[in-house]
Amino acid sequence: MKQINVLTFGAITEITGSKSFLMNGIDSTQHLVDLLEEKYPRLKTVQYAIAVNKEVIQQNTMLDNDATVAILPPFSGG
Amino acid sequence: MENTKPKNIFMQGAISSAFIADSIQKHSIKTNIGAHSIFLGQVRNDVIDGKHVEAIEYSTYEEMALEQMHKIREAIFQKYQLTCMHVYHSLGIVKAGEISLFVFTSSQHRKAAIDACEEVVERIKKELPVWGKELFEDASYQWKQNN
Repeated sequence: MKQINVLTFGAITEITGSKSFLMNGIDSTQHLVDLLEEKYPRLKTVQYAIAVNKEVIQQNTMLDNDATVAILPPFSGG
Repeated sequence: MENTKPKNIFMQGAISSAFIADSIQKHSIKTNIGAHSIFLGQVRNDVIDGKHVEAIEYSTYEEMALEQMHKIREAIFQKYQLTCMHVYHSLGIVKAGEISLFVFTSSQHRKAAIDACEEVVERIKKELPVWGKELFEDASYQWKQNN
């Protein structure tokens, strides 16, 4: 079965309670977002971007087995 | 010249003035350089809802940040006639008044160094997955937002 790694950072980690977890049977980033927003409704109230294998994506993206998907709150470095 | 594999830009805690001075000193042997441009980001003691920011705690998605910084570096070297470029960003706690970002560009003539330095700073703020948590004097906090 397909497995993906999910990473969270900053304010998003406070919502999910975990910095990194595995999920099974996820086909696409939209599928992941739907499941996460259902599980953590506060995600719907905050801004975030999604990176697949360290590249920020702008639209729904299919996920391969073992993909790493990062949920990134707005950057505030510098 | 430039490395092809991502360089680490992160250092734990504040960037000291001694480190910055030493970086400048190291360039005295590169006598083709005619101009340096330096940007230093300092943690500001903002007042938010009556509370002072005492420090910022920085965290990152390091692997992605280093890859992204590598892309920025390559694009900047393509665009500007630079001799060299150095970037350092703090992780962990940096107190108000301390330095958390050091961008240092050098070129034969001033315009390339100045323009490249500005563009690198803007791109770092916009494109690097780094987060600042503003820590207040009463132990509360909020996540920083870049303007």
